Amino acid sequence: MRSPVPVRAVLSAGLILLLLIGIFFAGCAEPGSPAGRLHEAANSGDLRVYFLDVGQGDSSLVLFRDKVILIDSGEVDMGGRVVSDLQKLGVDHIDLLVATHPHSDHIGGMQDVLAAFPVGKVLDSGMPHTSPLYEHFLETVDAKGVRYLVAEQGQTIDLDPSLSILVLSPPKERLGTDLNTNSIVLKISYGTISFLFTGDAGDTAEQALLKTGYSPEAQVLKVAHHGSSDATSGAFLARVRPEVAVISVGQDNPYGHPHRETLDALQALVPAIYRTDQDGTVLIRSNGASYSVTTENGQGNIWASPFSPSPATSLPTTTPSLSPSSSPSATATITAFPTVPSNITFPTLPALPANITFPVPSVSFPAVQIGNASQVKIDAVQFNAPGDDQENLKGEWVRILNSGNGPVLIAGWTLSDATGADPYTFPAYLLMPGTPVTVSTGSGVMNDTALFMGRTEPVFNNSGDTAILRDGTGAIIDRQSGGGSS
Amino acid sequence: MKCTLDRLEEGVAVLIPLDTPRHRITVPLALLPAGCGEGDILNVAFAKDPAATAAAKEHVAGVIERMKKK
Repeated sequence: MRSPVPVRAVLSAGLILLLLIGIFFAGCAEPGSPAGRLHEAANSGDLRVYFLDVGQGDSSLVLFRDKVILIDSGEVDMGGRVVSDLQKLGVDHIDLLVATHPHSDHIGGMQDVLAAFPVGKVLDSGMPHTSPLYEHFLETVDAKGVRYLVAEQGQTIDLDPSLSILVLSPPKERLGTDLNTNSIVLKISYGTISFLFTGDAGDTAEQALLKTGYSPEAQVLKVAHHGSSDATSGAFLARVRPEVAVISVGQDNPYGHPHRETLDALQALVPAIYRTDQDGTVLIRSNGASYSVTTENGQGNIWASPFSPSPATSLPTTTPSLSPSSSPSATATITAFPTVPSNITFPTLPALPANITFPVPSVSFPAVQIGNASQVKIDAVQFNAPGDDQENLKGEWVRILNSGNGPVLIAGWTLSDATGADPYTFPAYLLMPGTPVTVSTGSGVMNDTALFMGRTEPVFNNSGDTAILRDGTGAIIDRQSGGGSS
Repeated sequence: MKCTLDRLEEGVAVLIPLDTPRHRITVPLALLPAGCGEGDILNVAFAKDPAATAAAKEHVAGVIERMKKK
């Protein structure tokens, strides 16, 4: 055992609230209950945002009532897939087609898209580029007589009175000639829910944006430049304060995206991270007050609800930052995820279920930094207690270590033997980095390094067993086998 | 063949041939002339080298023959 350290896992009133979150997440994972079924109410919202899996590239689809927005179209060989995905959803037109910048992994599929759907308006960065793909795209837009708009900071696009579409970047005076830097950054808001689409805008664009009065704050962030380290700075993340980050990236891409530095920054600051190379297409639905996340590779069927234009309902119109805000970093009051303060990170995948909905209670929490659940491991086990197991239940234990950088709330997590029967459920406990906690089978007084199951019989088989640690959703965090002390 | 240098990604240049834009050629930036940047149009030529081809085949054939005799 490691030497004791001062008590740090304080069970405060805040942690009790955090425990409620744990219970909430635990509730999301009822065995045999389809994740999607739990949140049908939230899923009935009339905003749907699909981060399409187009390999190494970007394409995001926004469906709002009878309006369709497509932001980028992936590589040239992904145009067919984008068209197919839209058709699968019943899309028959595009109101706004956005080309964030002229690189082929963003505009390559435009020819296929323009051939398949009538388009109302095109919003372009207007940055000259010699790519034949971009040239053909412009020629087709011109030939079809589609209205062509060049993006400029502060510009708004009116498609529906309840939907705010605001250009945050590039500014009128472009940021040099770099195409990524001058990507169109769009903030789309419905009610209290905002999405930030960043194209490939890098640090330079982020810094420039932060100097303006425009607020980039959004619950959902499409991570810029496929997770490259030249974007998504900590300062930018701190201002966006996203609750969900989506990285559009291809498997085994030759550029090493997403970069480790970016993932580390996201994991430190963002509660939930999704990647199209692992999760497939990611769907986020919102009713303007809350939202749910469903992934193609998860349990929900993201293609199940065809797009069917419906009359506008009476949901509140958002109050977007159409003009520079006097307090760009002002704290959000009620958000879709208010149970999570900006400085708390929830376990990232695979700890999160494929389909979750965040409720909207208005509460505040103490400043507690939560680390990455994937860094929690079973450090050691002792299934065979010294002496008689029955007499020495404290001698049977499992030690758990958080090897990450931030504390991890393990409320609602469980520990079981190989059979999974009668698991021990963790109380509101904050597992501090580098400080292992020993979970003993017997009874005792919990402290910062010891927890007790309070059992009267041994749990683990001396001759060989496996300790299984699961998070509140039932996902296995770690397991370790042993037949005695290890 | 003329290609556009579409973009630079982490030291890799992505080239798009003007005549066959559905194709992409990725080349380490270090192999391109100094000073190349996005949007530059490059003349790209591939030339067959019959002498080098024959020499390489002869060399490999020799290796095979040696190995057969072992």
